Amino acid sequence: MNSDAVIVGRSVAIGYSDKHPSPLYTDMNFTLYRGEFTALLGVNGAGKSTLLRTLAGMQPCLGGEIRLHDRTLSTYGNRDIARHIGTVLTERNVAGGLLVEELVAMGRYPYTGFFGRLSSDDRAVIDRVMRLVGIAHKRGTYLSQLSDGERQKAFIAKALAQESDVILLDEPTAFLDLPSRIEMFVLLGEIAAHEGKAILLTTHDIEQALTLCDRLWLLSAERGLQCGTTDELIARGDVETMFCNDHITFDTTHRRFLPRK
Amino acid sequence: MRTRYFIPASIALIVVLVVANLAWGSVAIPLRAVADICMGNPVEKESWTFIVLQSRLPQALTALLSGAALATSGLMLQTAFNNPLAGPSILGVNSGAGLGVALVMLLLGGSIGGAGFFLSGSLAVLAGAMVGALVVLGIIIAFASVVKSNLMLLIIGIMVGYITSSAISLLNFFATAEGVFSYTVWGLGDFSGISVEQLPLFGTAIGIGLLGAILLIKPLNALLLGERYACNLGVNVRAIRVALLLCTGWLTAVVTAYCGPISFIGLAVPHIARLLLGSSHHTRVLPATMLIGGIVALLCNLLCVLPGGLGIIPLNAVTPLFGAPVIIYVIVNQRKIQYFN
Repeated sequence: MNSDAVIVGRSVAIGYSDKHPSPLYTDMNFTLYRGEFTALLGVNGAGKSTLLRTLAGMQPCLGGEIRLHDRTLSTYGNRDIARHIGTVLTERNVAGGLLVEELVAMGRYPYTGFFGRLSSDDRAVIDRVMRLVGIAHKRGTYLSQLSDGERQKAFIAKALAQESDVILLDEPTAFLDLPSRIEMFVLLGEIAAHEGKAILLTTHDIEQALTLCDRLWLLSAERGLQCGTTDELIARGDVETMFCNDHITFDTTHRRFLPRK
Repeated sequence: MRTRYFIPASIALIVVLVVANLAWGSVAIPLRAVADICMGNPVEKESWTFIVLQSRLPQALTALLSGAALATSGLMLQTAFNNPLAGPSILGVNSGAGLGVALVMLLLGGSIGGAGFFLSGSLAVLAGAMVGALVVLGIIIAFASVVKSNLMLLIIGIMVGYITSSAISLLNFFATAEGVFSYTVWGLGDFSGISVEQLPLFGTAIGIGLLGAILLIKPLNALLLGERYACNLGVNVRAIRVALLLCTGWLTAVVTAYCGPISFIGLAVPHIARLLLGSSHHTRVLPATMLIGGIVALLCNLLCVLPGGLGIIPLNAVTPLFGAPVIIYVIVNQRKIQYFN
């Protein structure tokens, strides 16, 4: 096992564990590395969010083993996981009446006591992560008054305040305009590199992922999960196979998808 | 408004309103006499002392506690269901209590003839309300472990409420006139049903529920972000949801058993608290909701006594007059209200 590996999956099966478990995927193998920015790509309905939720311990792994550091993920308690894995999700919520600062403070939840009182250490962490993502000047603003990009930054700051090794993001760029998308990718890449976090995001912004992510996980019903560095997967033609069809072609040099003429 | 000023201001307002409740009623008693009675001094009329201490004081305290309890239930439900328009009656706990009371008043009242009238306020009614509320709560909790979506659970609560209401209609249809009358009177809501002797028990029951709510402040804050975020922050969402339902169910059942199904306080007061404080953070909003709930209930109780000796009108005729405009205001202005967006 690579010393920088934070999450390792071996022969993992994922899906919904209702009465008749029929896994979406079986035999997935993957490793998430510290200090790297990884994108999970796949078409709609491929199961990206399911994989992300399984990694976050929100739904059970149906087979194989997911290890977080040296222990199986399922042996971690709620609070334990919260200290190791932070998330940014697409969930609808009623948090609009919270201030940015209050949201970021929520990231300290797994560390604070029964009534959630913040220590001076907690406050220092909150200040630092707000500056890190560039949202400190909006600390006293309601979430509902933020732009979509600022709102995502506030939630990223919340995840950073959890001081977890891993940050999982479910389509954080979905509602953003192009400049904000690129800014978001650059920010996450910097956080991974400078803070030593293992960052995994799902996204449909394939071209940004191809140029700005260190590693790709390609998920498709036909070929399962393929992992590798961005350069490897492009060189092997996996990216091309994944998204190209009769109408779409891939320009390897410029890392762009184009209509087939 | 700053929390720092808010709490002393609302406590002062509560004191003023309690005094007003002691002085204002169908029998006119001068303020000076009320002050004398409170300090234990003798006054002109013996009956005044009795009215103030045995009737108006317990009624004011009941209003204070009930208002706090209902408002707190409303706040917890709105957060638990991720829906700012949820209220205690939405779970069907109110109508469950109603069904319990209907069974006692209408069936017993029907079979023992005129006894139905005397049963109101009796132990049987209290037991009926409590059992009815807790049974409905049990059903909701059972569904809560199967149905994961809050919205769906909310709809199940509404459906359970309809089923109990239909059972109540059926009971009413077959009941005696006296039974129907005493049930209708109970249904109008009233803070005067608790005697001085019953007050400590009532106060303890409400106190336990309010304490439970205070202990749930931290997970309530996490739930503002939605269940998945709460789960990722280390909240055992399922356990917390059961705890929230038990706590709200208990508070609603106790109040409904003693005072009847009081509408709108639970739905509207949390909005007033959030709007006044400009926050939805429970550390501030929950205590504020308790205080405003007490204030609103005291105010409504005061408004029940018509001026000029015109008599007393039912509580549930007053609470919608304040509650409905608040809800309409909130809905009309929801684009401007932070916690909706």
